[in-house]
Amino acid sequence: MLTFVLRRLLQTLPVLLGIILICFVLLRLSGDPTNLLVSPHASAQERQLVRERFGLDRPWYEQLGRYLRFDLGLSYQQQRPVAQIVMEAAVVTARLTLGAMIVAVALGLTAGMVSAYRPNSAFDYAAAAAASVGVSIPAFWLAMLLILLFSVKLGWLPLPSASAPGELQYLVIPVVTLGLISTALIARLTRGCMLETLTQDYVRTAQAKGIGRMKMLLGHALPNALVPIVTVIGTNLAGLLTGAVLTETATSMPGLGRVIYTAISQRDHPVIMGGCLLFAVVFIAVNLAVDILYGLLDPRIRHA
Amino acid sequence: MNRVIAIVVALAVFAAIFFLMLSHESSDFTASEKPFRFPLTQDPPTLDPVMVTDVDSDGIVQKIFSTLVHYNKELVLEPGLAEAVPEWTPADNSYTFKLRKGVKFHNGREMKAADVKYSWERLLSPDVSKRTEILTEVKGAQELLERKTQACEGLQVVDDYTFKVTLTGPSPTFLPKIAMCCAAVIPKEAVDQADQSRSTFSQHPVGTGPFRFVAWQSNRKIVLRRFDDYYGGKPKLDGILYEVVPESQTRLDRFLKGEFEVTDIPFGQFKRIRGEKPELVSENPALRTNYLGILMNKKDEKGKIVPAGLLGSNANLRQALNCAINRAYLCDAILEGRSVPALSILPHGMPGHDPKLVGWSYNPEKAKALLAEAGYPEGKGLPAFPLYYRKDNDIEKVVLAIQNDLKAVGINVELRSLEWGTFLKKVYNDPPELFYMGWVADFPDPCNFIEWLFHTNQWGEPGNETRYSDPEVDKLLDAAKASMDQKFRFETYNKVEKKLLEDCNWVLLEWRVNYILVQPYVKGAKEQLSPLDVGPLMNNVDFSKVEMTR
Amino acid sequence: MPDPAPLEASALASHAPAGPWRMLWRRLARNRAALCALGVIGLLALVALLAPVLAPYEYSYQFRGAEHVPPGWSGSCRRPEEAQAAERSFLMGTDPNARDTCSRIVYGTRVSLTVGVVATFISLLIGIAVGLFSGFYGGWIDAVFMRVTDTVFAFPSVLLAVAITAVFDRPSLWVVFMALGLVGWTSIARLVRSQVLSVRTLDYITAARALGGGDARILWRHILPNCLGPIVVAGTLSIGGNILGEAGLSFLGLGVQEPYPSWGGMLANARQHYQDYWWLGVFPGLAIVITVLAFNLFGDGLRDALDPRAQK
Repeated sequence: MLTFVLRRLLQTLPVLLGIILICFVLLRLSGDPTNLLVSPHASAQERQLVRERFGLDRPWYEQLGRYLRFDLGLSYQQQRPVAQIVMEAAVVTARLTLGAMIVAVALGLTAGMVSAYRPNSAFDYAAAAAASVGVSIPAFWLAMLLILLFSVKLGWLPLPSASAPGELQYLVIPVVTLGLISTALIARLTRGCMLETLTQDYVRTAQAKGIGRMKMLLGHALPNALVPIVTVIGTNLAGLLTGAVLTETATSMPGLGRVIYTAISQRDHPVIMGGCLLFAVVFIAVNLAVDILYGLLDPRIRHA
Repeated sequence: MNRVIAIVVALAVFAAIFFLMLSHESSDFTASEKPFRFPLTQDPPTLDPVMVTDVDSDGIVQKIFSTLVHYNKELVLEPGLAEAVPEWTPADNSYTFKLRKGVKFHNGREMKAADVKYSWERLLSPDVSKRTEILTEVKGAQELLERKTQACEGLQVVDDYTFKVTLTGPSPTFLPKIAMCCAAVIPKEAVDQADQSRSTFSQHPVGTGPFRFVAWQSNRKIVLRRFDDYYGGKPKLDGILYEVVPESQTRLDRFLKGEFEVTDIPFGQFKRIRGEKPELVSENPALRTNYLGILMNKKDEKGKIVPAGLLGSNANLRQALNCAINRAYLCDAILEGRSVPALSILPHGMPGHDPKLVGWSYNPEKAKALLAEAGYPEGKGLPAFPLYYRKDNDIEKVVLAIQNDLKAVGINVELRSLEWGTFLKKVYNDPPELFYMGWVADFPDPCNFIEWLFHTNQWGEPGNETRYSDPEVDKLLDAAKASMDQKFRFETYNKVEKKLLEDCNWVLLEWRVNYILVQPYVKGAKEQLSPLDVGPLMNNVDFSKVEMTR
Repeated sequence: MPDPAPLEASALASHAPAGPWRMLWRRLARNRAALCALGVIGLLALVALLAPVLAPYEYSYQFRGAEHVPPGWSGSCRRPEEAQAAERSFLMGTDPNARDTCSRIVYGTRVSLTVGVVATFISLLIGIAVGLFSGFYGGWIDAVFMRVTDTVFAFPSVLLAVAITAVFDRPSLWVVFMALGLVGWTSIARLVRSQVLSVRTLDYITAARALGGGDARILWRHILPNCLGPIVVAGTLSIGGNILGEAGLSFLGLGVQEPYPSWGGMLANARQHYQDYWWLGVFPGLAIVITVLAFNLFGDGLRDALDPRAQK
């Protein structure tokens, strides 16, 4: 297990360097940030000075070299250390993501189990329909409809606010929006896996012996469904950042997605780089955790 | 079964972490205090005066800092940190400022003339400042900019309360420029302290304004508190709270719930709100002209200026464009009555604006005639012109209407939207034949429009984006720039403006009226709004006089 | 969507042997949801093809004076001139530029379907190539390709979209295609790779090699066809994902160029108008949901029909 973890950790290095490289190439292509850093009336001389200040006049390999040494420096716009900016935002996004995952697992498992307990029942069909629609709705649209319904019309929840990103009542709508797709996927997977287990011979034997369906579901079917669910959590994280940009914008959450997006529109290269790197690190860490969990959950999988 | 327990435990652990991560934000104000709450569209780029280039930063910086002189509601210069607006001394091209005594910085120290010198030399240091152009006419500024000297000889501390500025020649725009927030006075020790703690002054601004800086949480909020020793008298508000709310609909909803004291009005809702709640709506003309720029000239390989493209070389075509646009429809239907048709380059409310100067009005028949005269009857043989604009829902509605109007007379344009950074790159480096732009005055003087945007010296990036170039115009502009005779200057600018209207390198569109919503219990704010206030942040309002009666 | 229960599936075995495609079709035909979805997709394709015939008006025509008129049937006209304009019967109302929403939705079908299909095609092209080589050759090729895949997988597509807009210096459908296609291929590459790994060591491949088949021939004739099922499923599902992706990019202002209509763009433009002009948000939103739902349901149906476990 240890060698496996070590090997995986070693594999992350090229990925991080790859992220830096891709970011760097894209940023070079998207043009000189000087225009957004000076006043519209700046003279050519002032532009040159700004380029010097941020090292933009250096040859490209020197600029790249700095990033490759993970030297991110200060944000062009905010003049603050990039690490600070990125970490502040990451806390918000982490809270959102964790909340979304809890909602997704709790709701998804429950719905999937109930569906599997009574397949083809009214609940089963309703849950299946809800899940299908859930993965087909544009996230920002859903967030806005939820705000319109619960905050504006009914007044049950407060309107989105960036000043209190840590309070539960403000988190409800973004967490639900972000967690919806995963909820639907987990519900579907749980149901499928459980029903499949129920057709296995040993389960039929057990049933013949008079063990209740509920007990069967919890004792045998549920553990089998866990492996694919853990996978879903891992892979879903990929789409999360794009999802986070949309959800965070629609619900005024000052998270990592918004920070990266704002930095992109301001051509704040160090922040873009830092944000993407942090995201990649988290992403890799979660996937590593998922792989380790595999081994724990399914004794059949052993890592060479 | 063990594994089920394990998963339940894991879920419980995650849930626990989640709840631990929840945080109750400690309130910045006590229950009895009532801050004035502003919504922001996004984080302001900076709170350091010398780096301010945008309206949002300006609005906040003006609450924290003060300048030697500033504009009042009627756009007349008034003394700020100076005791009086100084007189021009022609003998040695200088202004002498008498400073108020007993003005305190937020850190408690008294402000003296040396602080003004420090602040302005900082404004002239290109490694921190983005607005060095404000002081370019000061004697010795060029040498300082080029790092040939350490100090600027034109900035002179006579005694603790007297500060003398020597210019290289007569400059009628010097005082208007130093009324901008960028020329605010700041204490050196605060800048040094920020540098030592490896932070920046932008993160810890200290000034002499009515409110002192408390906290800035990036992408969330900015908190200011009342400064009791403000030289203009103790402010009436407890503090100011700025909160970042990206969605315009949410800003409005929260305003209507009473969570903000002011807000902007999203498009699509203006007419309804004005009908239902007229008492909340406040309006003031804004010094802003929106237009389509037409690329006039380019430089050939030898650097010689030659007409660029079809539009640049055919005046009839440009006039046809100007005649083809239904500005009344644009302002009433598309912009919901928030604009008035632009008749000239200088917007209404601008000193030197001449109401008798009228450019082109909507006349599709004339446009068709001009088109025929230009050699393209009914637009036959005319290529489709790409029209570039910044990607923005509201701008998009405007250019769509323009496209429709132009099509009606036989001119086809292809819309091309770019996000702001890319758009600027395009206009600066590879200018398109047609582009949508707006210009907001930095200071209320016609020079800020007519010279900055049309002088050949301003070619390209510095402001002359249409690459207009006319030796006659340049000569007039130079004369106006060097004269202290206000009447002569305004007449000259009007003469130039008339010429520009004939040459039509701009397709004039609209002058914006600034409409915002203000809660009825806010007193003393609406009344102070001037043409310098763009957006909802009440940039030019003296906030020490504002109060809330609830 | 009800899965075909494995028990019923075993009944298939009693049928006369049939070609794999026919079998697939039979299994698919018993899944009502998938069939309905296929019907909807067919209908959408028809709408896209016949847009000029079906749309009541031209998509960019501005009915000056009829700005945001509610749908004629809804009875929510507030102003007399609105009622008058509504007589012209705007089925889904008009937008702030006085364009007929219905016509724009009809033409928008073209954009959404094209984006969905072309972006998916790009993803498939890259994903299949990377997955095939990676799985077939293994070794350092696999290691390099998989690290590249990991990198792109962990990369925000928004950044890619902005950069591509900046390079092209004008927005076009191609920017949207590229932004979505260049990000979406990673999951397909992984899928193909795992499929290849599972068939690579099978006897018939060894046999084909023993008979002197070159790498290209083996990949093309023997391995790829065996991976086709999962690829088709993944492709179908990713069409829906790409349509949602276009909506997301539009929300961030990186979508299709006006005046050409896309549902995502219409939805994004309507976000300030939900409360006052509900029709601007509701119709494009529904169009997206229905279309994405159709592709997802069809993809699910295909997967169930192809599931080898169901063939036992």
